[in-house]
Amino acid sequence: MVLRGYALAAAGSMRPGVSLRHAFRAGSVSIMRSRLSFVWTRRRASGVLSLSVGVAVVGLGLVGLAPFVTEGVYTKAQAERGRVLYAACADCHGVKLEGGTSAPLTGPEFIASWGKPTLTLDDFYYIVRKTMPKDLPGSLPRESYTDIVAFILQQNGLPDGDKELTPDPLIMKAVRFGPATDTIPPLPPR
Amino acid sequence: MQQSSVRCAARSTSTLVLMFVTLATPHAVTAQSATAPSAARGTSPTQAQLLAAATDTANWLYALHDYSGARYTAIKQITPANAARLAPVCAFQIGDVSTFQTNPIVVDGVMIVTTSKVTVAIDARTCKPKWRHTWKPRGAANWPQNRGVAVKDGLAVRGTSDGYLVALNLGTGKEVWAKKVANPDVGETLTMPPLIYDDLVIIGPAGSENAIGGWIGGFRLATGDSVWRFRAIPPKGQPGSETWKVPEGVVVGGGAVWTAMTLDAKTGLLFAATTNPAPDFAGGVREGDNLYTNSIVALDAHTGKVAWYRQLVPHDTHDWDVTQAGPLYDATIGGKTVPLMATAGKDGMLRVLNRETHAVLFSTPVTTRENVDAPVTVKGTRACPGVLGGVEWSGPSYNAVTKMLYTPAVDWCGTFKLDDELRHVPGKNYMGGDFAFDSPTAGRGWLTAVDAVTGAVKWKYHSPRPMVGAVTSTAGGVVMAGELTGDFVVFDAVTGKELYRFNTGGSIGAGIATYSLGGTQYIAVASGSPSPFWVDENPGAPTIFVFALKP
Repeated sequence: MVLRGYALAAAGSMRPGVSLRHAFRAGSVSIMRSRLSFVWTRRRASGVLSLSVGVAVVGLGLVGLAPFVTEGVYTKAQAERGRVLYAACADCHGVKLEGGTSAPLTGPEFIASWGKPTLTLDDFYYIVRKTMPKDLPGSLPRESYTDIVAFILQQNGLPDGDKELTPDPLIMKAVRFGPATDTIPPLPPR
Repeated sequence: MQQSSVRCAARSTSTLVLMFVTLATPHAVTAQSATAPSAARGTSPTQAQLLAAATDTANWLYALHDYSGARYTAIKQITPANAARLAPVCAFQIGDVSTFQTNPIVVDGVMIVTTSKVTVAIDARTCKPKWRHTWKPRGAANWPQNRGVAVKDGLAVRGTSDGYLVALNLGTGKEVWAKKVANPDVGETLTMPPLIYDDLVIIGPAGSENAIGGWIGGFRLATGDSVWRFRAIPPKGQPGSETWKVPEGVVVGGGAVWTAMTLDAKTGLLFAATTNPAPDFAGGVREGDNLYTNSIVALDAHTGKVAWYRQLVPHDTHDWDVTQAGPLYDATIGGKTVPLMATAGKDGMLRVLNRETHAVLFSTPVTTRENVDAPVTVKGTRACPGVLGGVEWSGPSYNAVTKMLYTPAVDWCGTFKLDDELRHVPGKNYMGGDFAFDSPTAGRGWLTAVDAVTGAVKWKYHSPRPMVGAVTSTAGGVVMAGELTGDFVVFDAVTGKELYRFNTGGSIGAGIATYSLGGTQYIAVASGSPSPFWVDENPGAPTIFVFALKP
C-alpha cells in the first residue's frame, strides 16, 4: 500500500547508513520541514520517532513527500555493474534498451508505462525480479536486480547520486517512479 | 542553508522532471490521428467476398482463412504425390527487430503482414514490396506482438500494442484513421487480428496477466467509433458476477482475448475464446467459477449481447487460457447434420462442442497432462502443461476432405508456486506466484490429427520444440506446419507421413497461408522469433517465405 509504504519509508530511513535527506529530497520537503522541525536527525532515531514521523506523514496528506527517480537514487558504479549484468537481457530488450522482441526499457513507451505518480521504484524492481530472467524469474541475487534497475535508470537519462540503490523495500517504496501531481496517489487495491 | 540547497537541488532536476512529465502524460497526445487524408481506395474485399472466403482459392481473406476459422483451402495442386517438389520461390525480410506472429492475408495478389509496429504489403507471387506503414506508439505499450490485419472495403485494420486500432488504405498503406480503443495504462494491449463483419471491426485486448477486465468491442469500420462492448467480467449484480467471491479490496481480473475469433454468418453469432482469471495462480482470492473467463462466448455480432457461453476451464489456477473458438464445421451424426465447433487452449485439451446444445461432444488431450487437479501451493506444484503449455495462439485446422482436425501444441511442464503475499502493481504482471519450467530447453511439441466427429487420434508428430505456429491443411491432402527449429514441414493429411522439409533459418511461430494465382498454388510461411519465451538458439528475423512446386 502506498500509505503504508510512505510511513514505513520514514521508519526505514532511520536505519544506519540510510540518509533521510536521500529518502526525502522531494521539492516539497521544505514545507514538510517547516511543520516537522524535530525530524531528520539520524542520530535521534528511535521507534517512537519513527512512529511519529509516520503519523505526521499521514497528517500532511502525503503530498510530495517521497523523492523521484530523477533525484539521483543510484550510483554510477552501480549502474556500471548493472550494465555488465544487462548484457544477458539485450537479446530481447535491445542493446540500447530500445526493445525488440520484448518491451523497450528506454524511451517514450517505457516512460509512458512507468512514469506515473502511482508507481514506486519498488513496483518496478518487483516486476523485474518477478518476471525476469524469462527462463527463471527471481533467480538472481536481489543486489543484481537493483544494479540492473540502476542501469536502466541511467540509460533513461536519470542522474546518479552518491548513495547506492539497495534492495530494501522500505527505501524502494519511498522512491516514486513518476512525477508528483496535485492529487494524492490513490491507494492501489490489495 | 539546508533549505536553500534543497531548493537548488530541486531546480537542477526540474528540467529532467519536466521531461519525464511531458513524456509520461499520455493525454498530451491526440487520441485520433488527423494525418494522412483518406485517399481514394478500392472496395475489395467486399462482404460478399468475405462470406465466400471458405471456397475462395485465389485469396486468404481472414487470419484463419475464412470466418469459420478452418485454416483450410480447397486448392488441390499440392498433393502427397508431388509435395517433395516444393521449393522456395521468394523471400521478404520485414527488416524489423520484432516478434513475428502474423497471420498473412492475401487479397488480389497482395499479401499483408505485420510485426508489432510495421505493416507491409508485398506481391504474393514475387515478394516485391508494395507499401510499408510504421506505427509510432503514442503511449505506454505492453507486449510487442501482433497477429495480423483484417481486410474489407479497401481497408486493412490492425491493433497496436499501445491500444490503437489503425485503418490503412489497402492499396497504398496510407493511414485512414487511428483510434485509441484500449488502455495500455491498465495493462491492455491489442495483439489479436480483428474480425470485420458488415460495418464493424471486432477486437479485444490481451492482458489477463495484468488483471485487466477483458472485453470484446465492435467499432465502426469507417471511423473506429465504438458501437458495442461485451465485458468478460460481469459487473456486480449482472448475471455471472455471483461466480466471483472476492475479499474486499482485492484486485481481480482476466477474461482477456488475444486470438482470432470466428463467425457463423447464418446466425450472426461471433465466437471468442476468453482467457484466464487473474491473479493467475492465486485462486483463493477469487472463489467460484469466475465467469466468463476461459470460456467460449457466443455474441450477437451486431450488438455484442451474449447468446450463450460455455466455460471450459472453470476457476483456473494455471493460466490455462482457452485460446481457440474454432474451427466451426458441420458433421453428420446419426444421419443428422450437426453444427460443431472445435476449441482448444493452454490446458492441452482439444474439445468439440455442439453449437446448438452447447454440449461437449468429445475431449481429446493433445499434449502431456499431469497433475492437473492438484492445487497450486506456496511450496510448489509440478503440473503439465506448464504456463506456456497446450495450444497457444495457433489453433486447429479442419480438413473438409479428411474430416480431421490438426492441432499444434506445446509440451512443457513445470512447477507452479504461490506467493506468500499477493501484490498488485496497477497495469503490470499480476500472477500471484511464479512458474519454473522443468528446464528452459525441455519444451517439446505435438501435431495431433484427430477424427473431427469421434475425437479418435489418427496420427501424431512429435516436434523437438514446442509447436506454436499455424497449421494449414488442404483439399489436396497435405498438412503444413512450422517448427521453432525453423523447419517448414509438409505432412500427408491422412497418414502423417512427412513429405517435405525446409529450414527457413529462423523459428516459425506464425501463420501459413496458401492461395492460387495464375494457375500456381503458393504457400506463404511467416518465419521469425514469435517471442523471447519460445526461442533461444535460432530466433530469426521476421521473414516471409513463399513456396510453390518446382516445374
